[in-house]
Amino acid sequence: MAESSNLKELGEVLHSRLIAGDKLASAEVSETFFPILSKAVERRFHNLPDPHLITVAAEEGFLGYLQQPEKFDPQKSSLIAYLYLAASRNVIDKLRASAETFVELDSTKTEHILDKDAYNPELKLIEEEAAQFAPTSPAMQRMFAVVTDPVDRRLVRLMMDGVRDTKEYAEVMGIQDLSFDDQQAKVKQHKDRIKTALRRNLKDWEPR
Amino acid sequence: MQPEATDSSLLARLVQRLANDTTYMAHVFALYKNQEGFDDADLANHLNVFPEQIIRLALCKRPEADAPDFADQIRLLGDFTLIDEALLAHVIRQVDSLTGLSQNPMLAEPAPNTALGFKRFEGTLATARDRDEIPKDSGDTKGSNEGNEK
Repeated sequence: MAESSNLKELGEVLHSRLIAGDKLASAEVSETFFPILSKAVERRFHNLPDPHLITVAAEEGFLGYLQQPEKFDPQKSSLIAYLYLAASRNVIDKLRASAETFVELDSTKTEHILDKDAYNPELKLIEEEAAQFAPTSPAMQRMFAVVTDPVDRRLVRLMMDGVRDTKEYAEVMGIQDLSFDDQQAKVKQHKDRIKTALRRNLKDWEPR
Repeated sequence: MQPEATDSSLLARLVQRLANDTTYMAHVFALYKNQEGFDDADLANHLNVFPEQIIRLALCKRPEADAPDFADQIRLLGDFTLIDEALLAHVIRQVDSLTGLSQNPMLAEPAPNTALGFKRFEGTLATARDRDEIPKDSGDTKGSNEGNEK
């Protein structure tokens, strides 16, 4: 997952990659935005009697984006704001379908939220909260718990960030002076070594 | 939404929802688990990876086995998830091969004594999963039929 303190900017980059057909983009978008979205929607509708409804609504809102990312216009709002509104609308729709639950909602407030889009203070707050921590994928956290060598960690970070440029790896490994072909060979060798070491390490690992 | 939900558990739910989308690796894994009779833990053990790596890979779009850049895409996914590339390619090819076979009416008739519900058709299955394609370190040295009948 790319490191960025600006969630709006990160959303734009990942969205562009998703639109362009990048195979990794859906995973990076999911790891970065789905947990934030789920927790934000949960907070917004925390007093509903059926928490499962909120979970499903958040999932469906997010899946809707993955399936039709072209519907999101980065010029109009940030990605997290778009996702939040989509998930919130889903919650409202599901509540409307269930009349007895819907009476517990303050519909005036809900419509207010939905109409304000990206300028809504609540959305601004979500963005600010989310930007306070550097999002790191659970997979990367797990790998960092296993890989302790500083150079290997930097290589793992590059690999898991989807970096393809050999030069970046060569810099970390301190082999910039080698020919490009030799750099490529060394980098591949190190990547394979890391993967092999991880597999060996996993054999001793016990799930919690 | 459960208050104790972790990022991993949230993403795992997303993977479940994507299992029906043929463009995602989640779909490939769902089929592979079905073919091999695996649950999630079996799959992680088989691939020798952490569950978080499987989740990350499952959230990726799948490469097409007949695409000219298939090897490059596999390498990219392998780096992105730190999963062995040969094993990853093997999983995709097996799923594609057996899924294609299951759509063949000659093979689709259920046969209770076989793990996949296919009639024995040794020549075709041999094409689907040649021994040469099985990575040496995958732990699978017997071929798909023997491995499936657990």
